[in-house]
Amino acid sequence: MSNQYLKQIVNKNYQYGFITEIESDTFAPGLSEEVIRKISKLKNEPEFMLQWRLRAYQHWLTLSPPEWAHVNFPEIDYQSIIYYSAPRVKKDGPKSLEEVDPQLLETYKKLGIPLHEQGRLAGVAVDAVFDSVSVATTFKGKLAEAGVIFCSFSEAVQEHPELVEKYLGTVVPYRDNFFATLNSAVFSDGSFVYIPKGVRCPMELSTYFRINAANTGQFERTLIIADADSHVSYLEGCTAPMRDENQLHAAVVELIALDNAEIKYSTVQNWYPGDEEGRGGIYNFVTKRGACRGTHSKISWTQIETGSAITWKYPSVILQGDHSVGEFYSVALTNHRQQADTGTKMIHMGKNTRSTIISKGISAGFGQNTYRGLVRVLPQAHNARNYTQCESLLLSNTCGAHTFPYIEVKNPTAQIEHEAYTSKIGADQLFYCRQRGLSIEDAVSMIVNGFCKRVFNELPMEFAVEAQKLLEVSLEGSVG
Amino acid sequence: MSAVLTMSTWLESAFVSGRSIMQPSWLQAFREQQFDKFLQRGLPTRKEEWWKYTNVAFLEKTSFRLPIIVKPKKIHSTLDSSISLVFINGQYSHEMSNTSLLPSDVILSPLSLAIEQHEDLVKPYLLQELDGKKHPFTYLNSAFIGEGVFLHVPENCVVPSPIHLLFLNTEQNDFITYPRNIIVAQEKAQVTIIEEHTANQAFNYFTNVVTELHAHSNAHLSYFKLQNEHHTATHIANVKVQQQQDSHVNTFFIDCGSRLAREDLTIHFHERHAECHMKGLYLLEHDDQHVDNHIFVDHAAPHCSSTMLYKGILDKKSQAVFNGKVYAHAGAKQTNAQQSNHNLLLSRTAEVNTKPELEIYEEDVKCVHGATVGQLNEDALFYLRARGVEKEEALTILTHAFIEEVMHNIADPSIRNYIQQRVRAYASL
Repeated sequence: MSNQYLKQIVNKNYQYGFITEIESDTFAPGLSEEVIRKISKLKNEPEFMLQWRLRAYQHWLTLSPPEWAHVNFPEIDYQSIIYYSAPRVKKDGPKSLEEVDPQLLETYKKLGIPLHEQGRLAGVAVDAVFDSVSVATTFKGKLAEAGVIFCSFSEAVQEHPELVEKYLGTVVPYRDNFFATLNSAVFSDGSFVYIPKGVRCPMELSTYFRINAANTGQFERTLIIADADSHVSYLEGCTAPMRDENQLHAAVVELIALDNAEIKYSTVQNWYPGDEEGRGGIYNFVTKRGACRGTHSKISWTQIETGSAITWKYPSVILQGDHSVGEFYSVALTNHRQQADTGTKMIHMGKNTRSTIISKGISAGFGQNTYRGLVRVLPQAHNARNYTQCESLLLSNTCGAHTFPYIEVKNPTAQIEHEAYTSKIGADQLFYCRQRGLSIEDAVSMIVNGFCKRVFNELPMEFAVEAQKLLEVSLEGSVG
Repeated sequence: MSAVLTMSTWLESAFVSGRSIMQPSWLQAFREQQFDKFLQRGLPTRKEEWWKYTNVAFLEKTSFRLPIIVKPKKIHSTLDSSISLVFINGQYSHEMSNTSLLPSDVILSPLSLAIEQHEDLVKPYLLQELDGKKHPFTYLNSAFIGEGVFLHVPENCVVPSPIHLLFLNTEQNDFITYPRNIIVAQEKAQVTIIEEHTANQAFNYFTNVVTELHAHSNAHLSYFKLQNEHHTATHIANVKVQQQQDSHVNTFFIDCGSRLAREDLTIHFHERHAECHMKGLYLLEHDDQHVDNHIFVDHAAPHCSSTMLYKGILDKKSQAVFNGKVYAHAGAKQTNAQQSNHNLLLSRTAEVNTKPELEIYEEDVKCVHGATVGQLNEDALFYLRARGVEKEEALTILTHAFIEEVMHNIADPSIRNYIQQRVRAYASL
């Protein structure tokens, strides 16, 4: 019966939960101005970065954690978190892949991430972030030929400080919110992408985040700038070991699309979700925002959220340029005691701006899944158009699915539509499939897959396969 | 006038002067307690999610008096109803009221009289703790309980024609009234109530009304709320509906008046197979007019169904807020809930904030919601113009068409007529 099937999933193990034994340089836990100065010094940052971090820290001290989200967790002690941990390097850091610690390469191999340049997925350039630092970036040479800058954030600060200074914090200012402010103060690494004018990035770019050290927080920052007439598709993946304590991940992602540029940002988030009793797991408190600065620019977010104990994440698009387009496609799965409060914000400022929101929530076990979204049309945004669809599927009688859409319209020419429904898998749907000889597992898997298809279709090929597998694993025999 | 009094000062003095009214001691004590609670709670601020889009801070700086008793020569109501209770500036007017057609076993009386004559019946309803934390104006209303309506329809009784409760505000300015209405439909009873708030020669006044509806098992209750206050008035209402097994409730809200109107509607399904259909219409035509509908449907029992359809048209620099929330508790199996809100913006400066919410803790449910905001369809307008219809006329036709869905299924012709008149008055602007 379905209950048994559900139990199977619930007992499913997290396959990325191993720990890599590696020597690392780690700060003592705690946060102070000194820690920030130390991070900045370690990274040999220019003065403007340090000043920016310190301003953020001063502002952070005045803030208190947000409480409006539909999630429950004990208060976080920010002084018990380690703010910097990096695998120890012998000299100045690896110059090429050959110099990267074989332990690290082994780790990524185990995770199925190719850090060599001839692998199966060799069409993808990867930046691998391990705890607080980026350990390797592949295909740099090939990308440089096209003029694309793809490197770790630390490297960008050294090599392209003018770009960093010009764009950092312009989409997510350091005062934005509690977690973004904390990130601005202590972020250690991340990815940096710059696509010059008229360039279509020759391959998919990807960052793979791995938390390894215990008690650390991971604070990375990604900045992607697509100059006029350029195009880039970017993927992001993440995993962490199984531990009984919760670990904080507070990232910031900023996207900037200038005239006619297009950025496609895809995430498969698979942080350790905690065990079935809700022990451990990652607190994923992330601020992601894109600005369509230019006319006819486009930003598209696609996310598959299956991991994390708590997800608090609202990838947003500010549609400043006339005719700009924002998209958000999301599948969020909560199982066991997982809680997700996720959604998007579409801020229409320019004329003829369009946005589409497709959100699919699946709750099982004791999971709580919340869609929270905002569509705001400002007075000057003539002919703005939004279409929102959020659907929730409930797979157990102990889970919850919630929808909180905010719609704020200040222009009469706007056309805004929102629709949502919440239900379990229909008995008639199941009956139809069973009648045609499908087992209950296959029927459920088929229905769930169909439910998510519209979002999976938005993923780049390499990820679509991974996402589908991930969902299959998480829901194996679950419904019925 | 001297310097503006702060809210607690004028409230305090009004409350003290109200102590002299003859009331049983339990009610006096309850009122004191509710008043303290209000003072502790204070006015809601926009930082509170439930009041995010409605600013009531101006009340802090406005002082209101208790109303004086006036006797108007005649009253304006477009409704011709055979059973009615009329309140002038919050005071019951026996001469204007008419209860001759009422079935003899139905109790319909002003609250003050009901407290005297049916103390045992009224007391448990009055002493119920309502949601003052969320809606502090309810504390305030309880603190000033004095007048209102008490209606008790006994088992199996069918009231043949609608009962019209008219609250007329007239010939006075800057006053505040606190009507409290209690409506009870016992098992298998059937009744239709029309609560109308209107004004004639009254400005800047404040109506703070609380209405409780109790539908016992198999009762059929229809409730129409017609809010047509003067456009300088403040109208804050809290309507609470309690439903037992197999009860059937229809609500209909039409909001045309007030500068600031806030309508809270809460439906509690206590037992299975209850059903509630909510409809609403808001027509805004003044600068700075603000209408806020907050609806909470509490699906606490299995096999209940609720539908919600609210439509609004906004002109000038008006603002509308809609917040509908369906809450399905764990165990509320076979819950069926629908929610929709549609808005039409006629001017460049109008603003809509809409938020249809679902909070679901049960798997065996079907919950759907939808919301739209837009303007009149250009193609439809072109279609009509191409057939020789004047622009104004075409706009009127399309506006009527937009509203028609809400008007559907209103059986009583006098109510239908009333609503159509309001719409006509609005559309001909």
